[in-house]
Amino acid sequence: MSDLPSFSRVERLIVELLSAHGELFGLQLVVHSNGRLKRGTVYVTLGRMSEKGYLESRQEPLPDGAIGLPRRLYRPTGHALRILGAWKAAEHAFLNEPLPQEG
Amino acid sequence: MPGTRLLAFASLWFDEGTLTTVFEPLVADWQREWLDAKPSHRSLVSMRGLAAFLSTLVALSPRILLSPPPASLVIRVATRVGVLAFALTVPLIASFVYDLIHSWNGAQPLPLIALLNLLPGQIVLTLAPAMMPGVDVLRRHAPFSGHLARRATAQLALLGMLATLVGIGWGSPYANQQFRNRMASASSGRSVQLSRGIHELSLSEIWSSPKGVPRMMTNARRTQELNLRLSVVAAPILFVWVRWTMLSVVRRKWIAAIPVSLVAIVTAVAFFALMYPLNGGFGPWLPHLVMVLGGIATLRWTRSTQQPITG
Repeated sequence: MSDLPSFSRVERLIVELLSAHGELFGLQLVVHSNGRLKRGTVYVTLGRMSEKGYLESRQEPLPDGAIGLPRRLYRPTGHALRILGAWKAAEHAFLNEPLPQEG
Repeated sequence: MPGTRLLAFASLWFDEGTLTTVFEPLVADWQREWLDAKPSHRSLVSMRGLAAFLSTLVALSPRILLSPPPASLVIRVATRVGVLAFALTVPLIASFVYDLIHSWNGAQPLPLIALLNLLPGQIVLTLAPAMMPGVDVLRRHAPFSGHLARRATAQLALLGMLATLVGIGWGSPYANQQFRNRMASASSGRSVQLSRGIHELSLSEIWSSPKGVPRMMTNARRTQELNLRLSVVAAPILFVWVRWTMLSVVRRKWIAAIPVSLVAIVTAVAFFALMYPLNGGFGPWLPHLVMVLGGIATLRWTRSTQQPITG
């Protein structure tokens, strides 16, 4: 039996935020995280999660005449959502399990 | 637009995938935030974006420093650097040894084995210019794209700097003291342990200036010695960068005919000839300043008049 894939704390937070808010830009993730994600590292984490297959991304369409680089929108993959669901279920089961009786 | 130049800088060091998945989204969000901000808030947005960009660079810097080039290339670079370091060291030592042999009148024969102790002190001086052919090897290795060659060259500079730091900080002072003791013992015919002079103190001893080091070490002398040694430590980075800059210029035929070893020798002689007469205060840093200004002028001239070869 293969091990259940795991998230780091930051990866899990990102997947939770994206599953709650839908597609978000990197900077929006930082804003919604209430300080738990840092702007200086979130893009590295997003890049790594994309490589792992946890996130999908697309560039926002730029209207004609717009200046600046097109931003990148991130959303969780089904794989990432299944892992998150499995971990939440495991946590729920663990927390609700009655403690073993002493003696 | 903020971030445009920084993105160009990142493209010099990172692969396409990292640029697309990390740096471009960062800069795109930054630019949009900047465009949406009130003019009075734009400088704050610029500073925040810059901090984020620099943090990301730091977070990804292990990718630059810990991705070694192929072993075969490392061997070629090491061979070139080693051969030129040896070629530059031999004449430096030979003249000293020649004088020593002809002036020797000690109680015992000249201890030739002690002369090996001269090597570390000379090698740390010749290592920096000897790195220039290594840059040539990396830059002209065909399968290397621009950012890979640049990474390997940065690693070469860093390794050279660390080797020089260890050499001039600890190796050379220890070897100097061994040389002095052996020569004094051979000269007098009995075992002699000389007290150490400032050149025989390790860098950490000079830096921390603990009690017990020679009393003659005034603060001015200490600062002078620190400046001299640290300027030598910085030299490998400077020589590597200057050579990289030189290779950015499309060379005319008569320049191309000059072997790199000769260029390295001339540059090294000019560098150290300028450094040692200026051994007081911050004088040892003057050659660095001259070379940096020369390198910047070369880069500006290259950009304004012609296209670089690669990278």
